[in-house]
Amino acid sequence: MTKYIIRRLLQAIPIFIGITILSYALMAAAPGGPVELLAFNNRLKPREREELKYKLGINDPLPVQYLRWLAGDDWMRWDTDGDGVADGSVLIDFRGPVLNDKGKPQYDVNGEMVTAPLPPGDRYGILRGDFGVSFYFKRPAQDVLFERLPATLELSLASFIVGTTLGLAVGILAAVYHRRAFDEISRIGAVIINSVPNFGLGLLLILVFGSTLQLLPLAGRCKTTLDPSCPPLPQRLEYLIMPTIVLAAGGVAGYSRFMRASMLDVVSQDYIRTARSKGLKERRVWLRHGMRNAFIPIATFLGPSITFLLSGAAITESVFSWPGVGRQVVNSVTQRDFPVVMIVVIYAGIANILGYLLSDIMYGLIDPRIRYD
Amino acid sequence: MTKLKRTGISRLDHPEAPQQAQQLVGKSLSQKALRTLRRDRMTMIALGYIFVLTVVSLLAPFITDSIMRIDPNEPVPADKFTPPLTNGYILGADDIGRDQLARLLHAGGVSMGIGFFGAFFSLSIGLVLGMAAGYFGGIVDDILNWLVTTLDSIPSLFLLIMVAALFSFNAQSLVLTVTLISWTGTLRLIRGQTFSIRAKDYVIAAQAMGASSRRILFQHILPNLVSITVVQLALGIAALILAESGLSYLGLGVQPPQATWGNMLTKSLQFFRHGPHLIIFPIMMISATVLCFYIVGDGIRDAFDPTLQQ
Repeated sequence: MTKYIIRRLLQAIPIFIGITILSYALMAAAPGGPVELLAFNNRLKPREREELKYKLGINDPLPVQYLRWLAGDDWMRWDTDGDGVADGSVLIDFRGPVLNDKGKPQYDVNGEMVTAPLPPGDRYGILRGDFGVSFYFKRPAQDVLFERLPATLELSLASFIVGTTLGLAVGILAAVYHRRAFDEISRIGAVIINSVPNFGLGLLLILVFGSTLQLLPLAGRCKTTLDPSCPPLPQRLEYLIMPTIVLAAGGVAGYSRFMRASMLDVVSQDYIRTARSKGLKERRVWLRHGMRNAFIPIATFLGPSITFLLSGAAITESVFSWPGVGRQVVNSVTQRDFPVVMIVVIYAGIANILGYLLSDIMYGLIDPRIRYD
Repeated sequence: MTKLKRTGISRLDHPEAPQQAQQLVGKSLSQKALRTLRRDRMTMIALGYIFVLTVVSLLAPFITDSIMRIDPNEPVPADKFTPPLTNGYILGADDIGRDQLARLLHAGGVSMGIGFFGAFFSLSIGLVLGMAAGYFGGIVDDILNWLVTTLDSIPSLFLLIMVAALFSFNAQSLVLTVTLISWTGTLRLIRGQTFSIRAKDYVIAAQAMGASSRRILFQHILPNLVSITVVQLALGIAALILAESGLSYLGLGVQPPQATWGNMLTKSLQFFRHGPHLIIFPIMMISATVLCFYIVGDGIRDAFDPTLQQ
């Protein structure tokens, strides 16, 4: 088992690199590019901005820029004597042009550009947890992510619990009452729930329970006060109800269909007939013999749901103004706040890789027939 | 399976059985499937709806120009928020007095077009690469696997909104983007199927008789993937129609004045007191169409499932 886990983790390395390349490529393709965006700060004077661009390596080839983002540049251009001026460099330029007040390079009498050593690199790169400073919040991107993670975890955990318990229960009942009214109704219900746009369902709930009946709060995670933090969860459960329903609806529909199919598959097998012929009660046959084995394929759902737990649901969070990660990504993308977008994408990728690994391990633990080595 | 076995045994037991058996043998799986489909009333209704909607959407410019004699993008400020069935507006008019029916027809072409072409292209890529990965294995499989896992590791909605914010979408670029994002699911499915078909006795037999890879792929494997592919197409179209509306809700979908069901619905959300009909009809179009594609997908899957056939 340990061998298997190590092998899987090693396989995850190229995937992680793929994720970083893909997301960096998207960022680099954005108008202006990452260097321009990093240097965009209207409080800087033209000269300071141009100097910053040279320091960040505007003329470096893209692979070098990617490497700087990935692994930092403190080892690319270093300062040994601590005077703020670089003493050596690899991969990137050691000297840069001396700029005038308008940010233009200067030339000496021979027409050659006047250069001076550039300041040393001070980025650590995402591998060492330096995702840069959010353009919008002017704070480390990491702080922005971790501030929003609790809200997302709260909502997605709630909807995961509601979605799985309700979905699995409906699925089991649909299998028990196979081809009877409950089965048909749950099947049609699942298809209908899946056909309505998620935000449509959310807005309908807001309209009925929030606006017309005024039973539940319209949006948000807690009452808006001057204090930005929220009281503990039990005091604001009513805020959680509607977003949870919307987010769990898809889960209920999906899990119930999957559980029904898995259950029907199991109960058509020989050992169930044996159990029946031994004269066991129906309830015991279904619950002890059927259900326990029908749960096994459900473990494959765990992987994807962990990603979902961490990355949040952009649309549902936007509908209910839920201050979570998904909504922040939508906002950050529109604000072109790349450090925040990048950190969310990369953390979601890591969560995904670990999620699939965990679900494969679970699979092996609950089903002794599966061996990994 | 159990049924087939049972008829086999009964044929041995009863000398008059061979005649019955001959009648049974004469139908291939796809003939049986088509017969099952024709008897499945719900699937046929859904197919009919999709067919009518497709024809009407394709003819939308003709219908609005020649039959209704209106311009779907021409505002008539005096008629804004006209309720349905008044002053000649069958489905009412929107917030600046444009005919909702005409706009829904035009939008239908765009929304279903995005769904169809997006699903079709991503399916084509997934089918070709999935068959290649499943059949040839080795390094092709490894590289594709890496690519698929990488793409799948990033939530696809994040990828979509990233691309959307960088290059604002029109219908064509949206199709291109969803194609590039959503082929991975099909590839996984087709790869798995190809893999299992390749190990079947009849493929090994064909190989032993010296059939080329091309012959095996196209004569033995592809026909067995047809039903899965059609189901995937139907489900893919449904998913993309929903995705388009979701993107529109975030303000990142196809930009107006090009109407889609998604952006019509999104725009109307702010008017739910003045014109509830502007919300109800787009949401009905989206849900009904998606529902019908789901029903058709399920129906085809059941029809081609030999264990469900009688």
